[in-house]
Amino acid sequence: MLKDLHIQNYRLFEDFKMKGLGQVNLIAGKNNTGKTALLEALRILESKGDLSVISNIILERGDLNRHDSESFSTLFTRKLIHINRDASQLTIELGDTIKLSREVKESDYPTYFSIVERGNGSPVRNNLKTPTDGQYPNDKAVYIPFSNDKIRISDFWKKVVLTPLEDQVHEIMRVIEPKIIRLDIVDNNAKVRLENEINPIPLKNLGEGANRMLIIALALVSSKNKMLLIDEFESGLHYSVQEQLWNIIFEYAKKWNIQVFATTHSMDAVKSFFYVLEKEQNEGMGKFFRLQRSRKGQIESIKYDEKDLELAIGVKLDPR
Amino acid sequence: MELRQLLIVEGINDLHAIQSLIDKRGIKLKFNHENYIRSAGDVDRAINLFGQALNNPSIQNVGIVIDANSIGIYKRLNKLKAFLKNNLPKERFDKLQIQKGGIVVVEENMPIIGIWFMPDNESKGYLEHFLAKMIPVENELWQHVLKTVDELSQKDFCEFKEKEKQKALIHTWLAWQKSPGLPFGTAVKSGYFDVNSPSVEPFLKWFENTFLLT
Repeated sequence: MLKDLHIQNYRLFEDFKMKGLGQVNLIAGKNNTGKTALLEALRILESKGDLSVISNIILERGDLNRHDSESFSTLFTRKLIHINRDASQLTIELGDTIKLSREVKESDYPTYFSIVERGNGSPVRNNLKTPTDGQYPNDKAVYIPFSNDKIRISDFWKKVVLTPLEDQVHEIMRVIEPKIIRLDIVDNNAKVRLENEINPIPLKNLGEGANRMLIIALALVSSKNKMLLIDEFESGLHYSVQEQLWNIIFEYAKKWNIQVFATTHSMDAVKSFFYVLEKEQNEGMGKFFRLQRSRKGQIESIKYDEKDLELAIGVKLDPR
Repeated sequence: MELRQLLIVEGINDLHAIQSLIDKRGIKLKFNHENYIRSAGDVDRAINLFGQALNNPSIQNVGIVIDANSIGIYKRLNKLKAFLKNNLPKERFDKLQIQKGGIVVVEENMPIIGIWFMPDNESKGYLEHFLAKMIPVENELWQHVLKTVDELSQKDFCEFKEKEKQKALIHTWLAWQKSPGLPFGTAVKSGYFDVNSPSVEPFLKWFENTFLLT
């Protein structure tokens, strides 16, 4: 489990620290304080700088540029980046920990990246295609973006269907609709069979929240011993189910050793997180952080433990 | 609207007493003052909340009112400082020194910090000592209260402890008014405490400096 995090020169983080991370971490903050960027950095960290992951992040942000050096410099800011261009090789060094390079070809695009060196200086050959070639990013963490449309639930489902994990997914989904008997996903479309119904119905008929719940359920059961990153926890979820969902997340995080990082804008999400954190069996498991611009303009994190959060919610001093 | 000014007090009695004093003296608050005073519940929680406010970059002025109690202002300040060690840069931290008129730290691009120890940044005691000073000494009823409570405190059947005597005095004073037993805030509004007593001036001065009202 990650205990502390230190990010330098990634997007808007100059020198950013988070200390005392928990098993389940909820991250709030105003717009443009780096909540999504934090999840990106964790993806990169978990994949040890895998280029398919980095490329996927650039692609998702719509920053993909014909010149990779420019795309990369939208992520890795300031002087730690060194771009060496010679006839055949483009090398980007991220500080002294990760060095990336790609071959420069005539056709040039889509491109081929490889990590040439890592940390201790030992060379690593790990050629990967960019996702523009139809490949998936080689994430080690499980990542849920805020927009449900961007998620290919079929890919999650393939690994879950006809395994015991399927039962777990059904169980989680019954929080939203107790009548669900089973579900199936074909071509990214989920259908459910409900008690006393002859024909299956599309999951989306159960509301926007059902879709989000399914995504989180699939991600959760796929995260054993991994990191689970959820961008905008509350997206589409009615507040009444948020507390139940936190219950489930805390339960799985504990029994399957999942470290969860979720971002939020919503006070309901913070409150429901706190109510679940307050339960005896979850004591000390969760941490709340607010990302903010300090008075000097740098992004920093403020940690709240249970006691701090209880007080802030109690006196209505908004912790977000 | 985002909260930019915050006054933190220990308990609900402090909140209402201070709010009524500010209102009754007609002090013009030049900011969004809806719920700007928050009562934390006890001194530890008040200090915690003060730390949270200092960590919040949208807060521009933050004051805290805590009781000196029987441990006195120096130990109280040390307790506060021990908690704030990680919340304040060293230069600011070092400026937290006992001052007769209450602590106010003003620096550019930083929130203004105000710390007031009840009752007067000097004596041991609490809110009730502050309120007692708002009763004219020569008032006959007050004289009677003092005498009666004092006599009672000598008796075997007296229940309150010596360090709580001031509370017994103030509650007795309120029990024997025309409207008996009003809570502090309402009692201040009803004139059972004199808001024009010279004893409140240092507090109001501190308040104005903390919230930049002058």
